[in-house]
Amino acid sequence: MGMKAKTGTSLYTHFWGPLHLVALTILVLFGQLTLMGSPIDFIPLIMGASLLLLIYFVGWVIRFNRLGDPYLWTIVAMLISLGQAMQYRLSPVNGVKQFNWILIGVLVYLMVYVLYATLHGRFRSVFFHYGLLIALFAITLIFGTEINGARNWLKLGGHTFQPSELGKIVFVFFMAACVTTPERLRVKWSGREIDPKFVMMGLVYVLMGFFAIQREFGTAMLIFGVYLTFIYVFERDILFTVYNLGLVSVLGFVAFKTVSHIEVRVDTWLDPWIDIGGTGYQITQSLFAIGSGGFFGSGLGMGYPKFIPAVRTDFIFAAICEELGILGGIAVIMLFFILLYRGMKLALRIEDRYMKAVAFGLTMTIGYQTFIIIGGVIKLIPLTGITLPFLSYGGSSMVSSFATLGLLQALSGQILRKEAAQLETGYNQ
Amino acid sequence: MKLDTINSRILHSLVLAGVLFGLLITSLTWFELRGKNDIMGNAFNKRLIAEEEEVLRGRIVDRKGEVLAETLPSENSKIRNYPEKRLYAHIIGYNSAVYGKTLLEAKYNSELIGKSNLEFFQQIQKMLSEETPKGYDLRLTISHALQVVAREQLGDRHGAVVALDPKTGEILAMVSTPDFNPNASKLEENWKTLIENENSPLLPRATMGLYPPGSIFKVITAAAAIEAGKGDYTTEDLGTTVIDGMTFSNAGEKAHGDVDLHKALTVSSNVYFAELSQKIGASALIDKAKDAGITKSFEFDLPRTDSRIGDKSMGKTELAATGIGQGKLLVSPLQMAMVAAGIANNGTIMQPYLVKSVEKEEGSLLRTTDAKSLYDMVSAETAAELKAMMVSVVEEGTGTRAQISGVQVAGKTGTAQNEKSTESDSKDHAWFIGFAPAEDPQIAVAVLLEYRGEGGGRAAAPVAAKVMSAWLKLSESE
Repeated sequence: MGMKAKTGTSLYTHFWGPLHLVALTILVLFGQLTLMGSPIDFIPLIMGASLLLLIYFVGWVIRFNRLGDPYLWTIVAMLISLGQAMQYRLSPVNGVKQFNWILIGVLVYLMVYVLYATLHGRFRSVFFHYGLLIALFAITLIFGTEINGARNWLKLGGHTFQPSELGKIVFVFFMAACVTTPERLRVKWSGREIDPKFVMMGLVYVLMGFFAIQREFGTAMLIFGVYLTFIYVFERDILFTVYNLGLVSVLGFVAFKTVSHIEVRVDTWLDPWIDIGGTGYQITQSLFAIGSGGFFGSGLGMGYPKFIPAVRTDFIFAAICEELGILGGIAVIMLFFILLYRGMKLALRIEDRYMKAVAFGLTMTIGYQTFIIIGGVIKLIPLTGITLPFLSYGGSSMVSSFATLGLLQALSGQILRKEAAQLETGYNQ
Repeated sequence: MKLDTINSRILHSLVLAGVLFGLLITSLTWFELRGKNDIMGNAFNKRLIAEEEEVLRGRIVDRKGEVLAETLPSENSKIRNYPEKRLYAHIIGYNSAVYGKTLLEAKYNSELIGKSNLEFFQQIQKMLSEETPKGYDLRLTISHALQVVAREQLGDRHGAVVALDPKTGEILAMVSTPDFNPNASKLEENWKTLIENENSPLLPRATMGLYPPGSIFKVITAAAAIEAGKGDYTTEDLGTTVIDGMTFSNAGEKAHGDVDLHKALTVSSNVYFAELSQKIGASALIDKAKDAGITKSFEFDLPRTDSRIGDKSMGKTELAATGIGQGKLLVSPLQMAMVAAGIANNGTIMQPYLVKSVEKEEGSLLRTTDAKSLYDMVSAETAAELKAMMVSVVEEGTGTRAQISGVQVAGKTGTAQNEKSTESDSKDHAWFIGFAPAEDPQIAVAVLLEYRGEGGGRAAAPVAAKVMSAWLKLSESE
């Protein structure tokens, strides 16, 4: 018993400190939003107070019930505080909606924790997850609605929902099942048995094709990145990773030469200034925003981020850079990196290969997604429209980000309990 | 696969993520420090207009307070007014809602709209006060009176005049022609012809134009010779000389007889300098040109082009051509004014600058630019020798038209062949660099008249004389 208490104490000793830091950030940002209005706007005051309550309440739930890694929530609490302040500043009406999505997201986060603990053993099937992915595509293609030229939205009730947000998570489970139970992928073709990893490869490329058809190049890039790191980590043969990288380079080049809107995106990335009024408009507006912010930013509410099209969703990072400076932007990047670090640390500690793969894949998904959208917004790589987890406006993104967080939290809770149990056994012996 | 292998590969993935995120941070920082410099003035950057709607853009005044650019307060639209019209087109640039911002209007935009980071608390104060906040004013080093003289001297000829204070680096006048009217209405009216005009009126020749220097470069060749211990070279000048099979001849193939360095510079002997450059060698000559700032970049208030020279592997004939200011040499008028100023200032080239101070409304200074040295071109002794030779040029050599009564002037003329020069139709550039008074230099100038087909002594020297004497009179009364 004594040992258990000791483990618990060491993990949660510094729990409240960082959370107070988040609280301070909330006070500053939402205080400023309140005073900025004329007459004084009380909605951000209420919103900030609710956010404060929320982060301490969830913090207390995690601390009290020992729900695993305490820092996952602290990091995300900082991200949503920054994001929410920016969302409200960009559009009060949508800011209120976004706040509701945060509340729902947190609910999903806690629910996933509870559900995963009871359900995780039951769905380790390759074909269940692949079937789910294909079903998602089929439903979207048949019942989908078109928004901004991409038919990748579903209407549910009064809300639109992006199935690919769920697809990203299912894909991780699919990959985890593939690499840990490859025997399920044994296929015989004209009397010869095909190596399971080639079957997996075929399935993944078909999926990428589906995403490309729906013009979700960002998501296609994302799942390919996840797939590539998966095979690097879990396939003994490194050459297999190299072949895949080569193959996709060829495919990418062919797509660049044949599919006109991929070509446009790459050309726009190489030189957006040629057609600054047209295809280059969005990215150059983003660069103007980041440039005008300088290192310290114009201050919340004092820049012009609304000049950027899609600033609340894909370009939220540019808005943060403009008003909170690139130092604010770098802070966001660092927050994502420590989130990544916590996730990797968790993946390293898990012994069960399937759960290890899930933790690893989810973490890499967050990492790649962050890199792809921030890299696009600052013109480091071609721009593809995907969301920045926890910061971009939108319910699908918020819910799927929190679901991912819930899964990581559940896995870390299990580890914690298991290690505590082992220690106790050791002590008793 | 062993769990250990998997774990170490997971660590590799974390390292990869670290590298990718590091790339994001590096790229952002690079963009902030360098990448954004050229793009923020773009007309599509709507912030520039939005920010200006909330403030009264600061004025730009000359060294004595003469208004060169101002924004007049009005109810619906604020118009940037340039009372001197064309005169400052290549210094101040323009500030247009349609075509963006250029030159000083672009470089000092954040100061002009009062957005300098230094003044954070005053900005808060400004935000709380009711009246339209005002941006900061720029006080230039330019003397409006001298600028007018320089512009008059150029007349309808194409070229540039750069005048600076050799002791401080302050630019006193800088004119490039042809020019254009930067006032918004005129700019919009003339835009199409401006960008299509083959004379490139939008090109600031003084800072961004590159020309072969011709004989004005001989002061650098002379400096290289003195410092390489070859200053005592003498030859018999028969009007032409052959180097490695190629003939180099004086203007009009005039023979000057026995010449030493002093005499050769005074009469601008191509024969002497072509031979001298062989004694100096490519390496020492190029090094000296670099000491004088050729090929080098420096921080300046306006965009500028680096001057160029051939490389050290050049052959004998190219070396001879370089020694007399031809070959692959290309220089800007600003660069050559700096060379003249360096000789005037005992061998030290001061950093040139245009903005003397950024001022708040009441005339209190936000910040001032300090004079600082940029390059040590030659030693003080070499500078004194060069100065004596340049005095002879004006007193008895090719530059007599640069004389000012009662003042000792030092100078060097140049007549530069270029891509348009042919035997039947000389399109040579006319050059003059110099300073005055020789014993205590107050002003250094470079004058360039492009494609005139006239000698520097005939065409450019009188322009320099007028500009220098005007400044000496002005500074007496200042």
